[in-house]
Amino acid sequence: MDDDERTQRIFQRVLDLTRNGELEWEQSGPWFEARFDSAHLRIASVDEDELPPFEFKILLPRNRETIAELRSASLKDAPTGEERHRRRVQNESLKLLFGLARRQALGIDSVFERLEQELEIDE
Amino acid sequence: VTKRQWIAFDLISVAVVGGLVAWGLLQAWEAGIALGVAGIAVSTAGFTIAIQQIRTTRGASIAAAHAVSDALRTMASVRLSALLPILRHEMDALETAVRQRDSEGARRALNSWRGLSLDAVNALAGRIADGHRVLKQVEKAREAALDAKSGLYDPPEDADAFTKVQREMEMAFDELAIAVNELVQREVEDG
Repeated sequence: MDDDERTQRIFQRVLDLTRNGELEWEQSGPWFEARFDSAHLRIASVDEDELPPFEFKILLPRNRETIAELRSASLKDAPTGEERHRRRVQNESLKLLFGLARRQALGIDSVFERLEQELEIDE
Repeated sequence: VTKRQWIAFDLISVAVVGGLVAWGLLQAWEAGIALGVAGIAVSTAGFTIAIQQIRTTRGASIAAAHAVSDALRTMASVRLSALLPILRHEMDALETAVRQRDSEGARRALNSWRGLSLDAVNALAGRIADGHRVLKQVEKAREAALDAKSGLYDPPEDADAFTKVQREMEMAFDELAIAVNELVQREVEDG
């Protein structure tokens, strides 16, 4: 299995864990990070505008060097239907991970809940 | 009475009062207190001089503030004049990228144009009315640029997104050019 396949597998696992609320993300500047002993994971909007392209990176904890990454790919210059579909799925997954990580890191759900309580809004 | 006479009068008053107090205290041979009073006298004299200097320089400060304001206004129009060809360059770069189906080049040009147009809007702030048509048109073009960029990666793809953003950018560029021209003309008329 090459590095790209392993990165893909890691990404899918990270997406599942995040979806299930089992991974803790932290805001770190304009991006969001989850930290493991072996590596740090980062999801970011490349242009820092919360829009695509997004990039998922695996970084070395000691010097923050990137050892692997996945990035949204343009659909405009996709050569074939199959490649186009693959890019589309990957782009959607990256976008989903960014949205979930942001939501979790910023505690958006708990802010809504507290605000609704303060405003005495019934469920 | 001139300002100089006022200063001289202040200084003499302070010196006389300080001297009298010091003399009275020195009679009691309290050297520490006498030195304290002498210090107060010196401080009061210094304060009087400082106040007078502030009065003197106030006129110069107002003139300097006017000069700074004029310089900033001129800088804004110079900055805007310099931004226009760069905006045009990015529009050309976008056109080339679209023609060559270069998504990365298109993304870069769209981002640059958005940043530069925001600079232009900031330079115009306070010099044109809030709801001026140039601001509306630039905002429209900036939104179209975001849509076009998102459309590179996100379905549903809008086949006309690039045609639309290029048209909006052209219109925004024309409005900016007119606004800059008006600004420069106004500065010339104001001297």
